[in-house]
Amino acid sequence: MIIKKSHYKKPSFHFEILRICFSILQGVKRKWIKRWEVNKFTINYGEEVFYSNRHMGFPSLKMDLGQSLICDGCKLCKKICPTNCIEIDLKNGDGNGKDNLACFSIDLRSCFYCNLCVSVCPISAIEFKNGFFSAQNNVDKFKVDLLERSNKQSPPYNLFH
Amino acid sequence: MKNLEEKLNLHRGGNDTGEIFVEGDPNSINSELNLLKNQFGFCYFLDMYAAECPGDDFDFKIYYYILNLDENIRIRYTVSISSKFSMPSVTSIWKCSDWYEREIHEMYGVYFVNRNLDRLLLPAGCSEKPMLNSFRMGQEIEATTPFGPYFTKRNQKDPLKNWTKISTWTKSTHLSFKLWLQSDEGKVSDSIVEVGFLHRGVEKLCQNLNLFQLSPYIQRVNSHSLFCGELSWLMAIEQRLQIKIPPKAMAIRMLLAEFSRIWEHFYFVEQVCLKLKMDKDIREFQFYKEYITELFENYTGRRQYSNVFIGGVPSELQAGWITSCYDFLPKLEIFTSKKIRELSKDYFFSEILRSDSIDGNTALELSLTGPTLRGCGINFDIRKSFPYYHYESVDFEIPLGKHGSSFDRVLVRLEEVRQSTSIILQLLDNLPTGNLLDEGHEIVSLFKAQDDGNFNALDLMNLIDGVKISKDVSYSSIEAGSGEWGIHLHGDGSNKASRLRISPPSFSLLQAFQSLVIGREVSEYGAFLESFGINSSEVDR
Repeated sequence: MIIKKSHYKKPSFHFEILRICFSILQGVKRKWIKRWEVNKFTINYGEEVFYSNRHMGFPSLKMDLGQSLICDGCKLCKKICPTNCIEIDLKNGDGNGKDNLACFSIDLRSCFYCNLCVSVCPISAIEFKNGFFSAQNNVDKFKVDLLERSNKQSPPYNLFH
Repeated sequence: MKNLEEKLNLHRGGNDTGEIFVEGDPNSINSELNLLKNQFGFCYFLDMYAAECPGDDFDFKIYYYILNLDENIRIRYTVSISSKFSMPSVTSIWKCSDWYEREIHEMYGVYFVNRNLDRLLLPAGCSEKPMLNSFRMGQEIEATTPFGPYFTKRNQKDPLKNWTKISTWTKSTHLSFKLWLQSDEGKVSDSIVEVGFLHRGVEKLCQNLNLFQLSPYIQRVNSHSLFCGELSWLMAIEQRLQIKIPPKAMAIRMLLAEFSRIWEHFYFVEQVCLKLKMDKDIREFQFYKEYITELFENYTGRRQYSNVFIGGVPSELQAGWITSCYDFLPKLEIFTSKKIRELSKDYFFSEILRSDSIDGNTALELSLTGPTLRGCGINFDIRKSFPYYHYESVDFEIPLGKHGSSFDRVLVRLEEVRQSTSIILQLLDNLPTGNLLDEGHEIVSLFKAQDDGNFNALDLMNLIDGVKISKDVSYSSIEAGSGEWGIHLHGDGSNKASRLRISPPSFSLLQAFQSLVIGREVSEYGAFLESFGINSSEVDR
């Protein structure tokens, strides 16, 4: 038996009363000291957010060094997605190849953030970046066209700011 | 064991899982199960569920899983019946089979003789049987009223005035079920637990999805844990596909599982403290829980539910992760031993929590699991009796309680935290080297294509559909924070699971709570409930 037998001893009532009195006194003393060091300002919260290196926030398409998309539209991510939230359209029918994407959108209402699309992608063209997708005022805004967002110069993932 | 073979028509299972398969006759089921229980010591009722068998002569098969605690042998007792056959009930042998039979009746329409078959998970007045293959996904269910038999039962028995309704809107319950307590001079004289408000039909969903796509669904069955549901699913599928994950991947998974266990134990002890209005302790527990989630996020990228996939683990431990563990774990151990000392010396805490007691026989009869069972003094832990991964080579002990009171459960939980910290330290000291994925198996090429560079998108596409599981039944379980978390996986040779049964611990724990709360003070039900470690999204599935 690992649990010590002493833990099963019943504590005495009088000792408990003494302990409570002591802790009340301690609290009063602490409060008394705190009186003289009043903080006039509340601490700012939410300005600096630290992410871990592997934090998974908002999904986005990766660009290579020449600022063109890596994705060639092989539709593996669409195949493995458990909730069918990815939509991919190609310009020239079924043919693969770069610069062939017409539409790449994710419905974030049904996205699990399960990372399956990222781990399956053979050329690692999709990733989860830092940043949160916050509440929106319109349902349609949850259906995000990643292609459109990747063309913008500003951080594409942070819709809130 | 030879006597057993003579008397019953049994054969041994493969995979060295210590399972025995018995095919029984539905008419003599009561006598045979009685024999197994009383003569051969199979006293612990694990699970019971039904499955459709479309190719055979029979309509349904009903599976009983029972366990011998002394020799660690599981028996899978199978009965094949037609849809018009009325099954004899086994509630006289195991009290805890009550809810299981009601669930089978609701989901499949199997009729059980001589017993009350009230609604359990579906809305009242529902005539559809949603787990049948004829029921399509997305089909609507007609329900008459939300209050069915429960409402009438309550009216018939007593006038309304003595019943108290406790639900999510009550400050003290974070769980999504309704609890009706009838009080008599401050003590509970009768109780009803109403579940089924969260029912998402995960098991039905999983039958229509590819094998790769299941893990995010099974992760979310338990919302109070970081890792447990996913781990048991991965163990089930890897056993079936004969994937042998490398030792390093095993060690990393064990690390995550042990951190998840510590998190869960702190969560439930914190909830007990919350019910007793001990604010200072809550803040301390929350601080340590937060640190654990940060460690978890640093490895997996998320605060809850990892992205570990079939065949291994996705990534190496980050630089600095191990050193931050070495900094944190001694502090954690000092904190827990301090907490054990403080809480056992606290007069009011121990006075309230020591008042109830559960003895070993009732614990077995109600099939309690996890720390709740160990608090009653019964030594059963999956990590010791059916060891998986590196648990055989790691030194740790199993704490046992004395009286089975809430106080014992809190002590057992806190003591287990100390054992888990020692497990983590041992793992970090002897962390194996090598691959992270099982290179030998074809599945891994799906997740490894980025590194290799040689791939054909069409081949990978075919691989997602092409992975098939054999026509067989298997069971695999892990020790989660609140008990045995098992998964039954049925295959029919295709790339989908023909039946996937999730058997979480909370189902039997909540059922046991319904009968154990009787005779206790109404005001103390909160701490009593939280010490079990029940999660209602597991119950509903």
